[in-house]
Formats: sequence, structure tokens, C-alpha cells
Amino acid sequence: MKNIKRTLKLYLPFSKAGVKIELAYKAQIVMWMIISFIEVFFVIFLYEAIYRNSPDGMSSVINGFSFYDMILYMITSFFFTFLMGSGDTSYDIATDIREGTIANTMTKPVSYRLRHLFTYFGVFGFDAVVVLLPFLTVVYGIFIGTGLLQVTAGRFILNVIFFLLFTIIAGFVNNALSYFIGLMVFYTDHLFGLNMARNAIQGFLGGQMVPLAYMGAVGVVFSYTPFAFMNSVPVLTLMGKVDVMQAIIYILIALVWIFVIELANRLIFRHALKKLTVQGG
Amino acid sequence: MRYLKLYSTYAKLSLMSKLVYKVNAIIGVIAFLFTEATSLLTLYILVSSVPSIDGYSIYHIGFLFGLTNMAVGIDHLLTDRLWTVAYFEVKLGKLDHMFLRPLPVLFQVIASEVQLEALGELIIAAALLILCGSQLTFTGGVGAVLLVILGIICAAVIITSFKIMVASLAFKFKRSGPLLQFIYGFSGYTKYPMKIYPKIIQAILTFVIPLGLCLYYPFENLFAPMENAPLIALAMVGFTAVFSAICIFVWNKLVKMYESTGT
Repeated sequence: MKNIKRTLKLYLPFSKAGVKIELAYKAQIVMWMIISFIEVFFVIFLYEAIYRNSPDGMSSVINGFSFYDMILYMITSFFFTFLMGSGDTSYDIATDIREGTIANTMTKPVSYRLRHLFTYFGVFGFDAVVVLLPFLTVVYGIFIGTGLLQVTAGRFILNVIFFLLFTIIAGFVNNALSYFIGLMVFYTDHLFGLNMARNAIQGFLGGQMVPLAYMGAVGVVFSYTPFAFMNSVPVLTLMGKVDVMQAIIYILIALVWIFVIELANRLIFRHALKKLTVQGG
Repeated sequence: MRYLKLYSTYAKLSLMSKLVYKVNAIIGVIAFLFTEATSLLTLYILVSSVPSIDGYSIYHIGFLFGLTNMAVGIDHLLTDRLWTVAYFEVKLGKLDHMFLRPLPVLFQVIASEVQLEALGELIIAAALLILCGSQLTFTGGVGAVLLVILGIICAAVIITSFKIMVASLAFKFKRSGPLLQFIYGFSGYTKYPMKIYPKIIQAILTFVIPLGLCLYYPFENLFAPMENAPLIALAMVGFTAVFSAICIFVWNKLVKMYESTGT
């Protein structure tokens, strides 16, 4: 208990700094949201055309999704993707490595990993509270209010509890992967390319534009990858498409993934430090 | 002729500097391959869940995707430095050396970077055009094919022109990258047949950001030859010429506002 208090006292200022960083880029966040929302808007037209052309028309249910389910999935996925874009740890690590400031951080009595984790959760928490939750409250209020999403109050509360839990898990998985990508800059400095490849894989395996249910058996396999925990699993949970037993299985698998990625990060960091060269001034 | 020689010298230098870091070059190409491949897979999964969309089969849509990617890839290959101008280089005052040379700054910006990463997009585009094209029946003749080629060139020039104009705003506002990202995003929406969009979006993609005019109508003309195809060709060339002239004019006006950073 004493250790936890000490850790929080030591690292919470990093989270506060993360919030301040996020506040400094408000215009950029708004622009990013507009761009992404237009993209989602265009994809909804594509879905509309698909449902219109399916045998039962707009009332079709394709792979377990009605047309309105798809709209809800796309909107929830859009906000969740926004949250996963918060706080670029890989960029911060790349800057530390390129500019040699990583040497300074080694001399300080703070863990390099925890420093980044707490900074990230400052940004993540801010975006979750200020953007994700208010917008989703409005969207789900409209869908439940108009009867487009039919769910009992008790079940919806359960969905929300699991969704919040999965959101926190998604934060840990996301940051562990960002840290992993950042560490790759020890070996190649093409961070832009690495992040681009990661975003492409994450978007596809995480079901950002198309639910994994559309991919059949392969989609089931994908739903157990770390990327699914960064979009598909939390989104489907909030929509009520994941039952309690399955949610518990997902939580256990996610914890295993976090452990595996963090272990890999620790090993890579140790290896990378041995070959680190920082030029003196 | 002088500019062609200079361009080839600049391009060679750019390629040489990129190939010094071979791993980076490979990562870049693979990253774009991944991006395009996953985007294509997403489209495939969606479209294959129904027999056809408004009369378009998966092969039609794949072919259109290839056409769009070809235009986007050509622009990406040849004019990628406009992104860094919009995002960083004006803000950080990194263009000073270009103002000291007896050459237009725009020429130097464009010629100084050949982006190998675009090969990822171009490979996917070529593969789609060949694979999907082999499954389709074209009723248009040689003229229709020429219209498609003209359309790809015009679309690439229009994308570049938009980039030139929006990047030049950085000379006034120091940074125009996010706005460029926003405008550039429209190039992706011509991947889908325009028929699926409401009339207002079809009008925007035909007359305001006329990538639809340059890519979709020539694509349609391959399968159902249009009587007014020569008129479409004229409209494409006319719009592209006028629009690119306006964008270069805006650049030439705003480039004079460039300020170097202090020491």
C-alpha cells in the first residue's frame, strides 16, 4: 500500500503534464475529428448501398448487424479510434533517442516505462472524459430513446461497466504497443513508416471500418489479437453483442497480452540500451 | 529542357539519399503496401457480402479502386515534399537555401523528393487494374482507354494542385498541414462508385473537387461508351489547366511571405 502511494506521488505529475500537453493541441484534435468523421460519413454511404442491394433490402441483417447496428458500430468505433490515437508515446521515445535526451532520463530516479505510461494515461483519461464518454452518452441516448437499440436498463448498465473496464484495458494495450514501436527507433529511425504499418494492421484487425463478424472464422481468430481489444471488443461490448462469460474470457486474454507485450518491451529495452550511443556536446 | 535536366539531377540525388537508408526505404514501401492492402481487403469483405452494388460487381469496384490509387500514387511519388512544407519546413524556416538559388522554389520543392514509398500504392493499383480488368468486359474502344489514361493524369495533377495551394498557405499561417490532410482525404472517396452517394456529394466530386469527373466518368465510359466522351475529355483538361494555373499563382503570391527564423 505504501509502495503504491509512493509510486502515485512520484508519477502522477507526469499524468498532469499529459493533460496539459493535450490541452495545447485542441485545434489539431478538432481538425482530426472532423477529418475522421467525414471518412466515417462516406463509409456509411457505402454500408447504405450494401444494405439496399442485399436480398431483404434495408431491413436485412448481415452477419448479425442490421443497418442501424452498423451505423452505431461505426460511430462508436470512430470515437474509440479517436481515443486510441491519444498520446503518442512512440513519438516521445523516438525524440528521446534521436536527440540523445534518453541519456538524461537514465540518470533520474524514475522508471522510463512508468514515466511514459503515466504521461499517456493523463492524455488518455482527459480524452476519455472530455470526448469519448460525453459523445457516446448522447449517441446511445438517441439510439435507445428512439428504439433503434433495444436493451434493458440492467443489461445496459452491465454493458457500460464492462465497456469502461475494456476501455482501461485498451489504454494499457495501446500504450504497450506504442512503447514497442518507439523502442524500434533504436534499430531504425523510420517511425512514420512503422506507425503507418501499425495503424493499417490495427485498423483492420481491430475492426475499425468493418466488424470482425464479417470475416467469418478468421474474424474469430482476429478477435483474440491485441488489436481487437483496441476497438472491436469494447465497441461490441457497449452494443450488447458480447455476453458476460465471453467478456470475462476476453479480460483474461487481454491481461495475458499486456503481460507478453510488456515483457517483450522490457527485453528489447535492455538489449537496445547496450547498443545506445549518445554523442557528447 | 533545362528544367528536365535539372529535375533528373534532383531526382537522382533524392533517390541516392533515400537508398543510403535501405531499411527505411523498405519499411516505407511495406507500410504503404499494408495500408493499401488492408483498405482493399476491407472493401472486398464489405462488397462481397452482396452480389453487386447498384450494378457494380466486386471487379468493377476493385478496378475503380485501382484507378484512384494510380492517380494518388503518381502524386505521392513525385510531390511528397509538399507535406513537409505544409507541416514543418515553413514553420522551422528550413527553406532558406531554396530562396538563394536561381530557380523557382516550387520547382525545387517538387524536384527534391522522389518518394519511393509510393511504390506500395502503385504496385497495389497496377495489380488491381490487371486482375480486376481481366474479369471485366469492356465495350469502350481505344478512345475509352485513352480517356482513362488522361483521367488518371488529370486527377494526379488536380491532387498536386490542391496540395500546392494548401501547402502555400503555410507561408502566411506558418502551418497548413491539417488543412491539407482534410482536403487530401477527398481523393479517397472516389474509390467507391459515385452513384452510391447523394446528389450533392456527386456534384461536389464532379465540379468542386473534380476527381470524380476525372476518374469515375472515364471508368463508366469503359463499360457504357458515352456520346459526350470528347466533351468530358475537354472538361477534364480545361479544368485541370485552369485550376493548376490558379494554384501555382496562389503559391507564387504567398511564397513571397516566407520568413526565415531568427538565430
